[in-house]
Amino acid sequence: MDDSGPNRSVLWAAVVIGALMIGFIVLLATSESQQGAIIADRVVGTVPEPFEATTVGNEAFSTGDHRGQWVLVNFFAEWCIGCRVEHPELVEFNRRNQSEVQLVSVAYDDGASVEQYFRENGGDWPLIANDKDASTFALTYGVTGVPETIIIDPAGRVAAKLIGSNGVTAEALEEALGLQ
Amino acid sequence: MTEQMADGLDLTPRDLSPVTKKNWLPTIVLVVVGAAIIAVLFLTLGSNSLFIHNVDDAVADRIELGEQRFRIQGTPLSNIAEDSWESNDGIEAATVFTIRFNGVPADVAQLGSPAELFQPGVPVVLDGSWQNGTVNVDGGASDGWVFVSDNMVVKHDNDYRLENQERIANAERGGLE
Amino acid sequence: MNVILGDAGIVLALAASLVAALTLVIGIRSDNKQLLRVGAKLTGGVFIGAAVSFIALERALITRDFAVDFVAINGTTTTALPFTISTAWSALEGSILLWGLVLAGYLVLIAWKFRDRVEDPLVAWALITMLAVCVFFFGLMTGPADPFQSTITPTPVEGLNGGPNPLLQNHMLMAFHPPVLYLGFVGFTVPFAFAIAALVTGRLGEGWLIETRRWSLFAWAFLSVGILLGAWWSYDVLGWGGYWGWDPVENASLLPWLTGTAFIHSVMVQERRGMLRVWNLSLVCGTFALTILGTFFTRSGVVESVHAFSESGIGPLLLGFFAVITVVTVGLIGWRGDRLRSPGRIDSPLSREGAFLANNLLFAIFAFVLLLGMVFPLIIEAVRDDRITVGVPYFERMTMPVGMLLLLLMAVAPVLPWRKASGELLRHRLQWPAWMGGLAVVLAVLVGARGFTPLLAFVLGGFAGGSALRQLVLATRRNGWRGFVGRTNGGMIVHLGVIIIGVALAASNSYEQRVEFAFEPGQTIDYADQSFTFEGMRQFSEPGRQVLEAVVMVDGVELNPAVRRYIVSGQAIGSPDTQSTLGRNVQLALSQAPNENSDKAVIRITVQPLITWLWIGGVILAVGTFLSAFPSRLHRRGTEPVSAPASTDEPVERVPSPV
Repeated sequence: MDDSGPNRSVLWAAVVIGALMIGFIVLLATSESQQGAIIADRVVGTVPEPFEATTVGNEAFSTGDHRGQWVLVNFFAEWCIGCRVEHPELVEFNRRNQSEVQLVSVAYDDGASVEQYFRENGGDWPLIANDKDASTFALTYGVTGVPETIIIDPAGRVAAKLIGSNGVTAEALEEALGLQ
Repeated sequence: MTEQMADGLDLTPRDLSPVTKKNWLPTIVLVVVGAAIIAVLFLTLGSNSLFIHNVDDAVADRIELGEQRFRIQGTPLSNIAEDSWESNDGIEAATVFTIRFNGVPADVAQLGSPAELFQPGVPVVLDGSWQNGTVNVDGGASDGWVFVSDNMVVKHDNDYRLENQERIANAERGGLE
Repeated sequence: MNVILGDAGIVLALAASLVAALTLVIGIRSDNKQLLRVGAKLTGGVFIGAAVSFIALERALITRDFAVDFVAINGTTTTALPFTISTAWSALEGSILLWGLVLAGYLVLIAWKFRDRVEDPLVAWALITMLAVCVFFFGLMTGPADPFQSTITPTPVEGLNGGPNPLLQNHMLMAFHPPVLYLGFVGFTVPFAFAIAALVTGRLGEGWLIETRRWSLFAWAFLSVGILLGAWWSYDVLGWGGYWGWDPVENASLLPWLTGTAFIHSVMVQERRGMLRVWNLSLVCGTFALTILGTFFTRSGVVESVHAFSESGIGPLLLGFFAVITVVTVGLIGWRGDRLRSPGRIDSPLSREGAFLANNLLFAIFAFVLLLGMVFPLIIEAVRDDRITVGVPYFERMTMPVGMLLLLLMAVAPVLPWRKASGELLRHRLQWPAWMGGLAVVLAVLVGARGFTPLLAFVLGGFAGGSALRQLVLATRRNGWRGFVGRTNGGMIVHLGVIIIGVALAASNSYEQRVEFAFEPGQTIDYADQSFTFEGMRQFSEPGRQVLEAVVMVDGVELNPAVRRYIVSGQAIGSPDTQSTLGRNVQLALSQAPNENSDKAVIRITVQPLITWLWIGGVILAVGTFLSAFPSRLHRRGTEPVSAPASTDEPVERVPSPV
């Protein structure tokens, strides 16, 4: 056994282990998170093909018919609280900016109950509530949940994608689109 | 203390016997066993690991992947339906739907029941492989290939899917100026 | 109001931690006993702050104060009260607050227990260490993990997500699993604090180990029970008989348990023979570090997990804290190496010391295997830019042999004497346990069990159980009822609990039977020696949810596998129903309810033997730990002079070991 003086074996062990731990920590620190990757989905900035669908009133709707206006495609579900929170704001926004803006809602749900909701809570714009168009929409615009609002600029390019209802107020929308 | 005595007993100090060499055997055994354990570890790891690909990569690398089993990630669309899938074991009930990532879709046949909280818009992770065929989905990829999966994990978390917490001004932008 | 209260509580706790720590440091430096006493009392402020904050959060949840972001995101008006309360720890910020509360609780308990000795620098340094950990956690809460933010506009009138994830409000165990688990995790801060204190003061005799023995034991017991509660919860909720998935979050809780178990064993070698000092210090510091690392894995998203907690900014901070702990620990041990020389040597591998060493080696291998499996995807991604996931077979294949060896060790170790044993002695003492092992496997085979692995587990389980029972029988013969208390005897009861769990694991994994069957209404099938009749469906409501359940008669007993649809969020999840008996569990899950397309109900049936014994073993484990905390009547045989508790300020003098 060693006598007085620093305990060599412990010092060496400490150095080796210290180095290993540093390597380990660096590995962990530089590892990318697996979580964020799954949600990333870039559609903003692209000019997708005009989206064509049939509304609940059996009329045809196409985003291509509204070049020159801002088109807000709002993805909606009746059971979704955030959707219901932002809905009155969209109604107000639509009321104040009718000429510059065209809203359209797309619902995953059963058409009748969404229609009912729109009747009771306002929403005087096209409503698309059939499964086929809803999934094509999701495919085209990379929609992964509700509420989501795709903002298409007058030139047909996807300008922004709002995920969640937080911050969605009529004023904020107007400010973002430069419509005050 | 030693003395040299005259009467026949030879008490001259002998050379100190050499310090017994450290017995290396236990150390060697330990190192060999340790190395064997580590080798087995890495081998087992390798053969039990699945590669993870998002849908876009999985579709792009379809040829290389061949029949290999791997893990695919994507977000289901709302075209979920019940169908069946014919495999070597016969015809099995399957839930069919389309998943999507970065704009690239893929049709999926999930054998057995889907996991809890499976719903459109919530990302899923599936273990399985590419197989030729089609399934009955509305608005799916319909490209002659189906990802046949036997294990589904739904990425559930408690976060409200808020990408941008504050205001619209911070929302994902790309040309609002 | 809640926001103000909550934030105030956090700030108070943080401030009190800082002030108390500073007071104690100055008190030590200037040798001012008065300051030390004051510092110890200030720890009360930390607890008050934490409690106020926690109560504020619960109040906000219960009164549905949606102005608080946490409540808006995680709460709802329709959740039943017990689940509203447990919502507090169902998401990140609240769970950090719970951690802080438990930590503050342990802090004041230690300050109170050692109140007469707070003038001793060792105790003071232990408090300072705990306060430093408090500073970290309460600091987190003032920033990225603040549960009392109020930023969502417009103020919601209903929970935005329909409440916590439905999987978190479906089962009562949600209320218990996280708090008990935290009592375990956070409990290891205590021995860690004393280890750091011993290193800093240079008083590395065995005193601190003895002082904190009960704390370590209780932390270990809570952790064990917490992990078992998690397994029970998974079992009840998942519906396919599974209770452990080797998921990174589960593994993260197992890692400190492994090192903690190694520690409570090797500590006995240090007490008795003064050996393994460096190893024990490393173990206890490592256990604490692993609790932080585990929290990092859980919350950083760095490893893929089913238990996806929300990602937040605290990942890097946790990693930073882990780095600090590691650097401080390794640095201190390296610095104090000269005082850590063991006066004793192992005389023979065939001895109690040798057995404990083997125990530690096995647990170390287990932990390494686990950690490697968790970290392998990160290594591959760093080296090859490929993303992979490590499958369950790796963990099962690599840990099974270790488990078997541990069972074997549990059989042999209790009969081994200290220092040296002869083969003769061993043969004599192990005779009875060996017969038990044989009996166990014969019984198993008679009952119909087959297969090498489970039979081996039964043999070893019987063997180990026999060894533990032998010890208990001898002790009670000698001391009456006191033969059940005390470290050794309580330890044997804990071993029995662990053995029962091990055997139950082997049996339920090897002999499970599972099938998914589409029942016509009124149809009966026979499966696994039981008959199942689907009689029909039933629908009703519970607070916040609609229940659709199937009525299935299993040999005359009604089971109701159901689907619960949560009204506000629209999410539906399955609620399996289980019939538990001592012999076997039958679990039914409703995969698909009859609908307009088909009137068949698809029901999954899982039959597994001995599942109930997993939980019984857990209870025995807890009881055993409780019993082992009592002092036994026998005075602990005098430890070797060289390892007497050091209460002096001098470093332990090196004394030649007695022959």
